[in-house]
Amino acid sequence: MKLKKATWLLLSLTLVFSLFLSACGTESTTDESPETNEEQTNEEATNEEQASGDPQYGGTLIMGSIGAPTLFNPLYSTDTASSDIEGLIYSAPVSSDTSFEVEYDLASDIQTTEDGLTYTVTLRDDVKFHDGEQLTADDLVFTYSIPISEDYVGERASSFEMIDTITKIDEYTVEFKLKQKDATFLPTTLSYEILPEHILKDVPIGDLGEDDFNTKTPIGSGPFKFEEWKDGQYVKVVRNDDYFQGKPYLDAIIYKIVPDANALIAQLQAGDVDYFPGVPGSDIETVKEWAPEAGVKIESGLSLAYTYLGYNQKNELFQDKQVRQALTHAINREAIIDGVLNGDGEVANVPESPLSWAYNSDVPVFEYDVNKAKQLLEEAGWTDTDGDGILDKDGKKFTFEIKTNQGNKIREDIVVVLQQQLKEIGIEVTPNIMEWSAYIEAISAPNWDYDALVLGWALSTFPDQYDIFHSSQREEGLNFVWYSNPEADVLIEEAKQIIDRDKYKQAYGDIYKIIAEDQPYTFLYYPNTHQAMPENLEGYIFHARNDLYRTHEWWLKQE
Amino acid sequence: MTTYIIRRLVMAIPLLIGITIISFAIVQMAPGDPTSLLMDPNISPADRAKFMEKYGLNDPIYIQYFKWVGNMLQLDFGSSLLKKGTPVTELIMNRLPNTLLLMLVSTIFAFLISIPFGIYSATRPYSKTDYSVSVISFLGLATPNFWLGLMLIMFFSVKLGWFPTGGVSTLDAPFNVWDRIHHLILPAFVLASADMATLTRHTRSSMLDVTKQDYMRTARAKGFKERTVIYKHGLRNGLTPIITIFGILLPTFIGGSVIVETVFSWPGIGRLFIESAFSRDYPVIMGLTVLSSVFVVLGNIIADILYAITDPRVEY
Amino acid sequence: MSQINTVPETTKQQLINPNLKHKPDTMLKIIVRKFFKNKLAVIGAIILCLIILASIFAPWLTPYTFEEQNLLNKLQPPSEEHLLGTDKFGRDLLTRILFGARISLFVGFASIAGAITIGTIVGSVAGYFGGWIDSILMRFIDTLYAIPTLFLLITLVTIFQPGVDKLILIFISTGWMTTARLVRAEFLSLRTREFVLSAKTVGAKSGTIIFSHILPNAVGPIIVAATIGVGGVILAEAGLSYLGLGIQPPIPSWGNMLQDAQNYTIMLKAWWYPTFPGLMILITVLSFNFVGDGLRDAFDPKVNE
Repeated sequence: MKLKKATWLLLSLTLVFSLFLSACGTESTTDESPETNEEQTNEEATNEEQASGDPQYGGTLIMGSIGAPTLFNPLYSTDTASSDIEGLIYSAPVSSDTSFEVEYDLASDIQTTEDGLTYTVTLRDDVKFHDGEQLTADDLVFTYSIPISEDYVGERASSFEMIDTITKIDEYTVEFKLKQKDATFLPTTLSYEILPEHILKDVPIGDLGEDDFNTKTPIGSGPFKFEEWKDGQYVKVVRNDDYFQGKPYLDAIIYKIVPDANALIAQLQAGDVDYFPGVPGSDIETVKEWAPEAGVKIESGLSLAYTYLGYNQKNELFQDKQVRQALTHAINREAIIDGVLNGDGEVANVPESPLSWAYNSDVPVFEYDVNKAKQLLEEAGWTDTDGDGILDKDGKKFTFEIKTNQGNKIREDIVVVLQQQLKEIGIEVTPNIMEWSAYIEAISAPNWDYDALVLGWALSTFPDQYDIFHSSQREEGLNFVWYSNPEADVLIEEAKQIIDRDKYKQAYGDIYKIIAEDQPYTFLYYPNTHQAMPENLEGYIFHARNDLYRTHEWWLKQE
Repeated sequence: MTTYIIRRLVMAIPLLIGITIISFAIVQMAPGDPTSLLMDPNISPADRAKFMEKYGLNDPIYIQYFKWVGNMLQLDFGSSLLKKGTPVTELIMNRLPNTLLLMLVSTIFAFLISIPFGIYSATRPYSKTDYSVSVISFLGLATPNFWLGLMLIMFFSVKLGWFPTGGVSTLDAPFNVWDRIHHLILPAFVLASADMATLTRHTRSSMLDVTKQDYMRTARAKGFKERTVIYKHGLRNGLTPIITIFGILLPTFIGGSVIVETVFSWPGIGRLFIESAFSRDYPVIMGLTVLSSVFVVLGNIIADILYAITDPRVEY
Repeated sequence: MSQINTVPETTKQQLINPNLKHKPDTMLKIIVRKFFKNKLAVIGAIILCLIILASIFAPWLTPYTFEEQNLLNKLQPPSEEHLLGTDKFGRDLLTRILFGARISLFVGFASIAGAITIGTIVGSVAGYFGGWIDSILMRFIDTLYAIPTLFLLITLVTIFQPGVDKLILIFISTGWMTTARLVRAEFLSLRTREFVLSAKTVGAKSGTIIFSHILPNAVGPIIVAATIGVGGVILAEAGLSYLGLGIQPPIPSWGNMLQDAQNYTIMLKAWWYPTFPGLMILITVLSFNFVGDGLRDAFDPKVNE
């Protein structure tokens, strides 16, 4: 359950912009990109390539984004917009392919020892930074030494904390020794992009986060070179002719900031934006109507995220597992998807996306069943003794508040529907929609000032539930629903030590069963995302976590 | 008059200090901090704590305030916590010209349209024209800027292609005056639409009062043309509420144009403020508060001077 | 208002009703009669009363409740079952508009009444006395204008439970300054007029001069500010709900109905959704404006019957 880069900032920025607008789109604010099946995509890609002839050079692609970037240094930025652009400018030892398997990028070889404590990374020897300098082992050592330094002030230290030592073996080989076995090192840690040592070596590590390099002159080894950033308007990157994976076809990509989703759709329609990877589900049908006329094609799919209703298990109302199960029975998730999302999503039962290799749907499912819900609640002691239509127990009424953040229209609408659905089984719900930062302060440590909340998690390509469901994460971490199950704790801890993919998946199958049975959340749904792009864009490949995947292969077909 | 202005400017100093103290307290008191945006499993509580420590956000508020004031007196407003390392002044100066331009043009729009309409209404009260003007001006008030802006974009930009859909200029194109004007028209109109109701109604109301006054009758009796009477004698005396509104509108450039800037992707101060407010980017918020205070003070001084110029009987 | 006759009656271009000349009436009667002679003002008052009555008797006027959802029936255009169509939860828009009037009108009128009263008092005092009193009051207003209110609002959410009363308090405390400055500006110009000077010579008390002599002449901008303010507050209420202050769903208000409709697809395909709440705001503001104009003319001794 790791996000490679925080999508939270984008999320909050989105709601920032829709403060008085309520215009915010779908859940796609929490996720980064859509999905298709790997096979299908590959097939399509090959077909398209065959059908449309040889790739052509030239053309500029204007990508629309609601969020605005903050700075271009992967060790210091925390928002999706910045991370999108970093992906264009820089490159990392590894990345993940469309099925979230590790894929070598800068690395040409990675060897692991039996004990899983030593990783030897060999870099390609044909990689140059945008200023012509060769990228070598020194750059890798330099970059990865920053976040483990005492002086580092940034938000990324925890992704590197398993590293014990980093040693340069030769010009292109680096050896990492880990403090303990960690399944996330290869897929997550090694996906951080490499910075140029020759430019930054004299900057004190404590000041790196504020260096002009990050905002004025970022230099990397990615497919595009940074050219210009006009704050609040756009970021322009141009082709890197010497890109090690091959010269990109596009002349330039302009990352245009359009803070309002509705206006962004209008810009797409007018042709002022070419590529918009976050068309809200509520508007997709409308967009499809004019898409052929506007020369726009749309690719849709499930995104790597889910939305949930979380119960504060510090509150005695929700301490009984049976009550939580009853609540899930009482909630018609199909109706929420059809009514609020226009059918644009799938019912969720586990905290993992069906897209993930670790997905396991073999878990207890609590389907919409009002009678079952009532029965479970009665068993738990909740009945309507005074005939006012609201359940009570020991003189206490079953009423609670659901908090959610302002600006995400979908979540607000879900709360309104939940209120109505729970009323039908005699539970009174009060919605409370709050400004983002105030909301976060209220729900998280040390306040936990809420009864229930609606929120979403964007998932990382590597599945790990430690941060959200392990009981050690209650006091300070993200387990702010105070979920605790000793059995789950043990299994989650053990899984961290498993390097073998199949065994990992098996272990997580058991973890999901326990979590699903306990219902610390009512898992609501997995959202879809929709990417709109020019009809003549070729070479495009879907990636559920990366809107700008393999951009050097993208090209615009000219007449 | 000069001494009056100097006195007012001197008085503005304690005022500014007061405003910054109150604002600093309010901004810090609001729940949440810059790390609220970092709800990411990859970011540990320790990282967040380090961040707070580095930027001195754990210090008592008064210490933070004195540090900030100390720097501000050397014209150093610090740098953004969100766009790390980017000086607040740079962020503001990048955006300020865009917003000022938008406000200026929309204010001119609003005044040029509203005042003649208001006067026209006032000279023919309770006529069909008067009612039409009333309905139109209130239509502007009852139509949310967001809705109007998006509708205009959909109709004039998407459907007819007459205007660009947003931005200050064509992307990545060399500077071109016509291009800039082209981009200004829709947002300026939307921004003006809301002010027009206020201005038209105030003009109508005060002109209606003025036309009943002695001196207007006298002027008419002296045989001046009606036009001359209205514009020369009437308007001058009927300006008071308009000046007040102008003085109030002047400093609203920070918050007043947020919606228009958002809908028209206008890179202005309003968006900067909202972005900073929601990410609790304290240095930027405080920089903007100082800027806003300066404009509040200026707006008032200008209004007070204008009262005295248009109506010599006004004394302070 | 008994002193109002001391204001010199200067303009008599308008027709004087000869029938009434011989029999002096009480001030109130004259005002009421003058008001009722103004057709538009009366129509405005009737419309406002109708809206208020409809909102009070809403439960008997419509077969639906404002919160009853029918997701299968969402975004339906106006029809016989749903005269004004349905919203995105399939709720009846007419019902929501009727119930929404309760919140919108109450918040609108109560806030403006409060803001106008405070603004008028502060503005009169500042403008009449001038000097240091004026300086202090105006600098206080400057401070209120300059501090970032948004943060104050966000903080309030954590201190208070949201509610209509808080909303009204917020609107009063942020809305009175405009009126104060408008009134002050009028007073600055009016306080040196002959009728004020003569009242002073006669030895009238400050309070009497302010409220009986100057204020009736400054009523124009106040009424305009009130009219504009009502519209502004009705719209702004929705914005505050979004900060967690004020009305939370599913309770309707015209402002939050408009806000709910602010979406590309809804605007293109469900025109009725934003249009009807917007129309209600327009009708309310227009009616209020005509009543305001009527009242002003009724109170204005310069305008004769």
